[in-house]
Amino acid sequence: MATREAPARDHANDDIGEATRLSLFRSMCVIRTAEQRAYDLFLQNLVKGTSHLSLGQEAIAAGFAQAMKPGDLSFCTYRGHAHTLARGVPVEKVLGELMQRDNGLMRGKGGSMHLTSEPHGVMGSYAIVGAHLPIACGAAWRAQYKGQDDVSTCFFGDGTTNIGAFHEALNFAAVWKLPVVFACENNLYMEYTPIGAVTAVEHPAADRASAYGLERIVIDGNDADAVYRTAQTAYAKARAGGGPSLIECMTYRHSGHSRADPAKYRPPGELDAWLKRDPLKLYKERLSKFGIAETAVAAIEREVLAEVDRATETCKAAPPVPLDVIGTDVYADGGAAWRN
Amino acid sequence: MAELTYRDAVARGIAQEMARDPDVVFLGEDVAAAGGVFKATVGLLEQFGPKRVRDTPISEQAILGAAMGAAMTGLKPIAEIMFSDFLAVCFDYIANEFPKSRYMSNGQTKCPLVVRTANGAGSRFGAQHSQSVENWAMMIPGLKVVAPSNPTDVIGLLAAAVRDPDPVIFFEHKSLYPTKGEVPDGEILDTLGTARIVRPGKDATVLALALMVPRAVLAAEKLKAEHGIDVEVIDVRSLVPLDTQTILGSIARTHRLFTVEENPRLCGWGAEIVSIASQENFYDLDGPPVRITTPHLPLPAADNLEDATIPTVERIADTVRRALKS
Amino acid sequence: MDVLMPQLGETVAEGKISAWFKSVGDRVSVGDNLFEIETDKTAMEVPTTSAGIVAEIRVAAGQTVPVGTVVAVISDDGAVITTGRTPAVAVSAAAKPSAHAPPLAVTAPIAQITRRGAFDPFNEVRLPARGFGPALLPSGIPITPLARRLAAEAGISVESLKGSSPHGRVMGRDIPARPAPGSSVQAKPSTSAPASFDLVPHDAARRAGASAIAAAKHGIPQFVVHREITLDTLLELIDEINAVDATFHVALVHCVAKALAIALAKVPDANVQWADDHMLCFHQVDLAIAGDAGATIIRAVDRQGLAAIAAATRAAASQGVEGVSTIWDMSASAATAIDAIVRPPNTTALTIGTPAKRPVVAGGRLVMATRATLTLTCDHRAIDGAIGARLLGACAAALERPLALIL
Repeated sequence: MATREAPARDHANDDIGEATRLSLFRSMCVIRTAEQRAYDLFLQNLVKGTSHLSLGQEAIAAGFAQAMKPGDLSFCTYRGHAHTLARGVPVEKVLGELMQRDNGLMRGKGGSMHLTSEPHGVMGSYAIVGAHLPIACGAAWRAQYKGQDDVSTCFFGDGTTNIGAFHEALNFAAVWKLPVVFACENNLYMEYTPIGAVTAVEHPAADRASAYGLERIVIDGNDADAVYRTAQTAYAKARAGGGPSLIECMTYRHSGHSRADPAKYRPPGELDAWLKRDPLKLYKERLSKFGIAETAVAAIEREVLAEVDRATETCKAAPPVPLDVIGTDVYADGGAAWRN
Repeated sequence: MAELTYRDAVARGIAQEMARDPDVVFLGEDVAAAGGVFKATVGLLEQFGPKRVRDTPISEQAILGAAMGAAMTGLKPIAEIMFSDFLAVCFDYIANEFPKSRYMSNGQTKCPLVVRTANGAGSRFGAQHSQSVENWAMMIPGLKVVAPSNPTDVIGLLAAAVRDPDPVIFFEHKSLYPTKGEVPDGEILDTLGTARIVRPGKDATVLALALMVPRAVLAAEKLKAEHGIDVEVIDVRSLVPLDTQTILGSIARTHRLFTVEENPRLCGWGAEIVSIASQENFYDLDGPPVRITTPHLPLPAADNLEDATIPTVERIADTVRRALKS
Repeated sequence: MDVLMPQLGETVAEGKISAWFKSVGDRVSVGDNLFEIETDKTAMEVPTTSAGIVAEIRVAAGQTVPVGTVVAVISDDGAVITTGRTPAVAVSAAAKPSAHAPPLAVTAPIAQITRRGAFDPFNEVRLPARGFGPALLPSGIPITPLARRLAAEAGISVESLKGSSPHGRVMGRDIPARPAPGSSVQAKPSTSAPASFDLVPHDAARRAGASAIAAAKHGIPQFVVHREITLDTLLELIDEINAVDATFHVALVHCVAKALAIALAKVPDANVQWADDHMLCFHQVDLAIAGDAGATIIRAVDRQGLAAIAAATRAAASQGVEGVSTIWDMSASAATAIDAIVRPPNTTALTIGTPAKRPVVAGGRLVMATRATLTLTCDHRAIDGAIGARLLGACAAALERPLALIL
């Protein structure tokens, strides 16, 4: 499957290092625990509206975020909790938004599909498929124009590769040589329909790369190390003026498309096969292989669970959003006035 | 003071702002080397160079998306969409992205950009290159919408739009590009959200926008000369924010309201103003508000058909006369 | 722990339990499937989110209940927890499930919204404060809204009115109290009547001037420095000069110009014009004196005598702005002080307010003195605060020890 997967490395050759590995693991652990908690809270009718979970796709968010520098920008889709958490946004702010409380990241004005934290470089989660690829190009254009060295990363699903904005953005980024990285999370289903059933090529992103003069890159999106290394390479290229990269990360969604989807359309056995390649399970084995103590791993899991528990209680106790935010921040003057 | 065409005013307005602020950049299809399909941006590439004046592929979504990403992170882009009809192929940015980002993020993000686009009929281009679509933008909370009728307003309102911290959709009228006007020397800066009384009068208030402003003024002269009817013509200029003080104040003096709209009838900008006036100014009205619009039709291409479809001086004058005499 | 009927879809209001996988008394762990539900969109298993014993099953298989209903209770020890029959989460629409409207938990009525600023998004188009009767008179004749209001405000009974329109409609002009057509509206003291005014269209000069002054005000960071000065010595000197030759016509404003020129020569950092990528630092002082008809530019004020400055001031004024500063003479305006706006290419503007006798402390005693306020506005891009203050100080010193003006 992976055409550019890094060769297996032994302990002595480890280029990543223990501290980075533990950071990657912690990041995946935060995402896994917070997403599971979001699901539990949904069953308790405490999470309202829709929500799209990244259970099973944690290694991609963790790997890219680990390779970013402060000031790098993330542009996410409606399946954006993972990328928001991976940039260091507190669990409480994310759960608060999902639970539509006053302590939420956007005080209930955006909701699950639009998580945004400008101070963390999370420049928005976009719920119209494909819309944010050109927007990420624009942010990269600003960096190029002003001679700033930040890179914009645009995360999207396999379904996005069949919408026009995907192709416009890739061409635009290639022609203008923009410092932008397009990260496709291929979880095999556009929403409910298998991506292969509606796409002319096997790899919906990578097999289109050559049309824009880009390298064909397919990696194991469940291997956080592989994601991290590929992201580092792409960022170094972008910062050096080498232009955009398109990276297709193979992965699998453990749950349905959204909370309303029990994912009954998947063939028997498919989920089980992918659960054996669960990114957290794989990574725990990796940590063990590199001799990192199980106690250190268990401590991270304990700390993360405690953090998510604390965040849950804080959100449950938080008040609903006061109604006077309804008319704020439509325009830059802070209000909604359209007439004098 | 110098005489300038509406077309040259566009380039002067952009140049004024680019010279003032290095964060102002300009992108669009055929805008740089070719100087724009309407030749409204000739000279900008030579003056500001290819880093700031950029030709794009035919990718309207990429143009508006890139403008938004740049605006969110510190630039002040001016993006051109060649014909306003093409807003339909990048409408996601107009409807969902520019105007919602600040609100959904609870004020964390910004979107200070201008989309310039050539709007309106009169060029015999047919139904997909001649529409007046300012109401497409007017209906979306979070946008500002401007449509100048003369060269001085092009410069002053464009400058105000570039300096405004909100996304502004700037509708230039194709049929006004060759028209001329006296333009003051030096920097020109106007104010968004201000209508202008272009011809004072006491018998009725006639609201018009863009190409319909000179037609309404000619109709007013005709009504005065032939029937002694003295109408006040207001150039609405800015649909959002809407200068209701000037408009409703005029209705309170004249007691009658007419709108002259190039858009097809249903949900044109005048419908909203009539609705506001009918509510707030109800007891100032001495007769029903009347809308003079293009019929609810796609625009035909042939010159005689197109001319008969959009409001003419004769139709404006005749409608006003009949309504006031009934 | 209450187990709720989850909302299995954004537009789903109720769910039907198709099967229970656990019975009362069963021990469950987190993630165990508890029951299966069908909605109008989908069917799925619902796992438990807490471990314990199924203490109670409240909704049997086959039953349909609104989203949010407690369908089971899981307790730590199997004891029934008496939480009542109400859903743990209040869902206002639960009582009336609708296939299309998702439950909306409204936490406060709209009327409780705190108003922010003048614009109220829920009351953005206002209703008239009051009504003025029906659109048809008892006779069946229509009457326009304007005529109804004017009649009510004038206290006129509308029943006997005759309409003047071709169709007999009663119009505003049919109400006797209405002023003659063509006159400006005479505002009767009524809260709804529009204010009276004459409409004067802008000429091109006013429009250009307005545009320039707006650009200057909004585009240039400006700061203002004030200084009160004593003028007695200067006013005596002016009288003496004009006594020497009455044709000199030297006035206070000419002395202010000369003083500012002396000050600019002493503080050359302020004798500048600003451009985007450079400053023009002048070797002589060119100033403008503003009058009713525009400003008069006077060259090399630092090298001219007061009589020559006064003579130059009588030359024709122009509409443009020139020099490094413009002086506004407000000494006859009765205003104490006026802050001018700096217009490019000027980098400063100076006003002098109306002189007045005021008590001041001099030598430890209260004495009367003629005092006036100098106000200097500076373009902060070109002139620092300290330089602005020094310039005004030098100008004030020259005016208070005015022999400097004639040397």
